[in-house]
Amino acid sequence: MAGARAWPTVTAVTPTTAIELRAVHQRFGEVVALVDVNLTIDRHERVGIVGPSGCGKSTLLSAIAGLIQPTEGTIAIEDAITRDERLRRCALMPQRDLLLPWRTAIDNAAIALENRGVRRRDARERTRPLFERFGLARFEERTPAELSGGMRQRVAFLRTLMAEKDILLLDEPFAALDSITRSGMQEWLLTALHQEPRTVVLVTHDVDEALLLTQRVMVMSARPGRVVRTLETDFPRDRSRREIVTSSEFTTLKEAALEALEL
Amino acid sequence: MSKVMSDQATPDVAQERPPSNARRILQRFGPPALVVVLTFAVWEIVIKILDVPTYIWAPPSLIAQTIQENFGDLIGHTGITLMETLVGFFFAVAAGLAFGLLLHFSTWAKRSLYPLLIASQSIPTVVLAPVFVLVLGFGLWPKVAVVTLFCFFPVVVGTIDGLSSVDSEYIRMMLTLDATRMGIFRRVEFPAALPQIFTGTRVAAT
Repeated sequence: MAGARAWPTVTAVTPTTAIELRAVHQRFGEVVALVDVNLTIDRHERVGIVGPSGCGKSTLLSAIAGLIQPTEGTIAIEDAITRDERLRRCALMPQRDLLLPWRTAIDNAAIALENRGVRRRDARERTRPLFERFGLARFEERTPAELSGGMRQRVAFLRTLMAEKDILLLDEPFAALDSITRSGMQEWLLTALHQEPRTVVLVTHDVDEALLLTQRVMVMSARPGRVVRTLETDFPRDRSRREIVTSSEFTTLKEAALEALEL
Repeated sequence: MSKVMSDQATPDVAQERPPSNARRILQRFGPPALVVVLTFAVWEIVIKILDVPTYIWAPPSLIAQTIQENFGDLIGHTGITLMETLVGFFFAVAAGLAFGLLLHFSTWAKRSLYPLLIASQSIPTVVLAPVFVLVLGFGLWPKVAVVTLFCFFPVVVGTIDGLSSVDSEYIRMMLTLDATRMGIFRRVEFPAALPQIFTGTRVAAT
């Protein structure tokens, strides 16, 4: 089990559908959080969900992840339908980095391996190559308090990757960062995801971020949350963040998204 | 403490030589020592002047003399008391931790036992002490039992509060990273609860 593998590999599943939501409704007592959400996500597709605060986008992510079971409708991840099975197939990256302050950066990133019973030393050795690959070399033994906000978020992302799951659910991953750090992190994440394609569901309230990082953006309405607009994006990989954000296609899409959000 | 003192001992007047070691010690321990000496002196003098019988209020000189004469006895009994305290404290921490964990892991146990535990705190230890003496005799054990009982509660409360005040977002995060109930406990809940468990232990110790 030692560190022979340089990268966490994910068992290949035949292409096509990774996640399928059918007629998903979610109520919390009187509060209606989600209404009739239907969504099909292909394997290694990146989907963004934008909407105003409280529109139920985080609820949607929790439901996909298997942390909650929707009041009505079905959510399938590959062949997994029950809550526990979905939980085993997704890795969630929360808005706050949630690094454990008493663990070093590498021990935080390796926690999913330890959770699966890998010995601590082996878990560390298997995580180490990622630190070099993603610009965190020499920071392995730092505690979270010694890292900058952007670095903590990178460690949190590596921790999500090390869960070795095909589906990454990102819940406003950069919302807590300042805008300059956030731009850098978006570029970093885009590169990381091109190197290591995963099925990604990105929840954000930042339209730019969703358009930039994903291939399809679902715009949700204020509560009760429903999908009001879908936008196809996919910008060529060889263009920089700045080139994309300032291009006319981007502006057109952004206008459409803002219109759907009634902003 | 020493850091604070040395900061104060080197004022921003750069020319002034740093005070010598002896002087620092005098600065630090001189004032309290002086107060102690003065207190004893006043005590002694007041008793002399008012001519208070020594069996009502003994002067420090007589106390010192008595301690000296009975030194062997005193040391022996202090040793026994210390022993009783340490054994009782050890039992309290062990039992408190175990009980706290039980209540944390079993909702049923928490619901049924926690209110009773809190209610039991209204029973004064003084009332229970004679019962312990009757049941356990006059030796070491009734005293150990009293100490244990006294220290048990803060440890349990510290453990339970510490374990249950962990941010639920950490638990959600761990759940999506394949953690079992035990894994969450070992890697998140217990380390996060340690400061509060230690606080409980410290309260128990004092």
